[in-house]
Amino acid sequence: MPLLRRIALIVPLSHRADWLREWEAEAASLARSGRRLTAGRVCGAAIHALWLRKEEWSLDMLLQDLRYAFRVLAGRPSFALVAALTLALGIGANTAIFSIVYGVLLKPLPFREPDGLVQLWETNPLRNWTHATASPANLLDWKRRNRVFEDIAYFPANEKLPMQSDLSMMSPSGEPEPTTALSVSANLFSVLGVNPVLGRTFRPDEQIPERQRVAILSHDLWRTRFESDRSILGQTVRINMRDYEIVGVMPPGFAFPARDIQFWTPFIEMESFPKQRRPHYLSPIARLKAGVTVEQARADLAGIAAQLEKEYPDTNTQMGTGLGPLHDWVVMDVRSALVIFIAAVGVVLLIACANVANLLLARAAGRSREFAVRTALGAGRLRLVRQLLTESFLLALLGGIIGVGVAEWSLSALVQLSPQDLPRLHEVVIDRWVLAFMALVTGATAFVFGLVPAWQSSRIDAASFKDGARSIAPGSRVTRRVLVVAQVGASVALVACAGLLVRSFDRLQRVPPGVDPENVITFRVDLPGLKYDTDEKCIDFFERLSERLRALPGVTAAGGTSVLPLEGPGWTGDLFIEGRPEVWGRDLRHKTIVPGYFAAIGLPLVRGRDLAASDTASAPAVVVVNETLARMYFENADPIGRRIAFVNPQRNPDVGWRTIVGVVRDEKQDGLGIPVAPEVYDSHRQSSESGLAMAVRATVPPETLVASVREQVRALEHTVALYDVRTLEEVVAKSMARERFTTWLVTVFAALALAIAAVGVYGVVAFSVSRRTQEIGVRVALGATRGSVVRLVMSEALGLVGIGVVVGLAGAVAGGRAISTLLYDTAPTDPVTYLVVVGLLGLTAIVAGLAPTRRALSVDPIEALRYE
Amino acid sequence: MRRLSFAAVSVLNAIARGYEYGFDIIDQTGLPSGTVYPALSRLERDGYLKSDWEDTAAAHAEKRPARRYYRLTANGVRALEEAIERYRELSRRVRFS
Repeated sequence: MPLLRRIALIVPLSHRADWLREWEAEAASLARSGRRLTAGRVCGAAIHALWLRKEEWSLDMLLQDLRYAFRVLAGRPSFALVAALTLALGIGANTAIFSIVYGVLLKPLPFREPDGLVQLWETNPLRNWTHATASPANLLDWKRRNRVFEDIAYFPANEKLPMQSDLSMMSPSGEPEPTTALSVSANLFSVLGVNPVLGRTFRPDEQIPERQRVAILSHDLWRTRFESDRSILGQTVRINMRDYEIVGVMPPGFAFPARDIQFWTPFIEMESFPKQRRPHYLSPIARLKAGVTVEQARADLAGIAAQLEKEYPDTNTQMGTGLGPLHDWVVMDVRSALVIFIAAVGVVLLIACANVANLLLARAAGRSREFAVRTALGAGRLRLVRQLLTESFLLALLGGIIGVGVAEWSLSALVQLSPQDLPRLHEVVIDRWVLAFMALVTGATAFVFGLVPAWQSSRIDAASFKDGARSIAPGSRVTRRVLVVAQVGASVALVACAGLLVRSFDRLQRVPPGVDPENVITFRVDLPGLKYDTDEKCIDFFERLSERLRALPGVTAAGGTSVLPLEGPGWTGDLFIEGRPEVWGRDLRHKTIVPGYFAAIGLPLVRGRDLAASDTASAPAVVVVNETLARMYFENADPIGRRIAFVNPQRNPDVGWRTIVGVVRDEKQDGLGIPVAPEVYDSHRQSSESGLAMAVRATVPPETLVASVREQVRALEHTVALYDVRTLEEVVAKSMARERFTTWLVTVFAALALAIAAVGVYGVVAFSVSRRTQEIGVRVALGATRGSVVRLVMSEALGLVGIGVVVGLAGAVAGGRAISTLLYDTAPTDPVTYLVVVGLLGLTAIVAGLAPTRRALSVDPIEALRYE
Repeated sequence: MRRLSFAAVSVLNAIARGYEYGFDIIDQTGLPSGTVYPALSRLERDGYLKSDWEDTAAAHAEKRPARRYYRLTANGVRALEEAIERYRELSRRVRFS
């Protein structure tokens, strides 16, 4: 019965002969009585075999295996420690990165039924809008006409950034403290499905102007500033000279839509709000009705947009809508980078596994006699494999335990070093899911690094007895070489990706920001509307502040702007050019500046004049434009003296035309690698703002100016706080924070991979040298030169690395393609990067081969031959 | 003493009644082979049964390989008696309830 013989392989060796004899006897008896072994009885035989196998793998045996494994590892503590530390690095780094990936990408948003939450936006091909914020009137029409949403909430935003206010909150000692608030629609919390831990959320009537101002505190602010005082409800807090009644405290961890929001206030819907169809500044979030799909909602919203286009052609021509899960909206910027991180760290773990597998194979060579004895005593191959896998699991467990520490440490370092605008970073913790992942990785790791060595080492032949400790299982040397080649190959892919990112980052860093960021301090001041309730008061404050700042010793220029360079768009609108036969409706960026700003940030004037103190509200309206605007809309013509408008002159005959008086060089707006958009600069005297960022250029280190700058602000207005006090260099650096983090992290992983692979190459070459001691001795005795011995050893190291590089280059090209969206001005197949990578790997091979070469050179031929 | 399963008791009972090798027990109890053989191995492990190989010459005389015969140990006899008593008691309770 060949079938029974096959099934017998499952049965433990100690029972196999009896089992087979019994079943064959039963089958023969059946045959004698003219019956056959039915499928049911064959299944029974298999179940019996499995039962016997399970019996052998009982807890007692497991404990016995564990005890033995522990003794084996304790007998070689240095080996156990090196292997466990290698695994701990891999497991810990994987856990840390997974906790970020899980916290940011995979964990559901911390809201009620988060799958029902969607983000809405507007699109307009005429203006290149793909994900624009909504206008109030459009949003209100969506609210009224839709059949798919339970409700729509909103908050003011600029593209993806919430328009939070930097306010001054009075401390008990009467000092203004900077704080960050966001005004939101009253229904935002109910749409999200989050209840306060204390008090209530907003009522709809609190969005009506001139009502009592109310505020909801973040849990953090309540804990730190109000010492978790439960009687806080009903108390007032003075913010920007206005009293707000505290009506609620949100639960811990709630930070929407950004983690630095410290309290929320109701968005006041002014009388003009329902009529505003032109300005787009609301970020809408909706909850789908039960059973409604995203596609159905998209179609419904598109239908409403089509109606609005017909009803309001002036503002809504080609205005479309878009909609997607809120979760996608929140994480869309970081998805690709995080996927690359987890892939890179996964490669590091695989390389670490290959290293430990190699260590186990090398060690198994010294244990072949032990395996042979155990086999002779009746241990089957599976029994040996099981014993060796138990050792692997014990190693992995040790690695996992140390890995928890590595994970905790590296996670806190990652959170510290990661860009502060990484969404949901505050939700990243090592929780039960992360620990479950870690357990899974640890278990899988044990299999990955343990199975091949266990299988290889359990192949016993007669030579094992004869050769004793120096014997090695057949095929093991080939396996070790294959493992090292794979390690080197994977490292090449990772190092190439890191190289591409470094090169890309280097190029990005070299992009001129358009301004001169050296020796400039910047800060933001937002004036309380209650006191500064007219344009004149605001203008007067910023003029006087600029004068005071310019008078400080060491200061060469000072001015203000609504938005600093590289801090994204300010407000955007249409552009119309006088004298052009066609109407030019274009998306144009605006900045309001306090004269002196260009000199303060080092933005040179290329034509015309700067905005001046004489450009007051009563003087003719003037603007300065950037070079991109001049080039895009005036080609070779001189734009100075030409007039532009921001509303359609055909529909508004009394349009306020503005004369272009100057052209400045382009300053980078959204990022160093992002092309500059057309921009106009208005004087704050003609377009007042109550909150501006100030820039002060000095001949002294800018940090030394902070105290005197603060004094000047306090002297003018003691109730306001300074926000975002930074040098302009820090502002520029912040714009590259994500790129810097990605490059840094992938480079760390690549360095780790390379180091582990180098240890792998060293291990194989050193082992080979130790096995070839006699051969080297004979060669030296026969007159081999030192050079030829060096060549012998180094050729092995270089050969292994060389094959690894060839194998790895294919992976490197694939890796380069995968990260191509993160690269700036760098091709995924950049030849310079690849050349450097090959050189680096060559160097690694030489470094890895150095110690074994020295050992080979020290071989004494007489000693070696005597040993033989 | 651990309480035996119904299948284990059936197997013990069959052996006590003279059905002493695997397929015979299967035919007698009507239990599937995947239940009977693990039960035999478990009962032998726990000391309720002992097994012996049939005399080869005797088996060859019948032109078949030697069978493995199972017999009850003293523990097995006691366990079977207790189990039968338990089932009788159970059956009485069911009848009068």
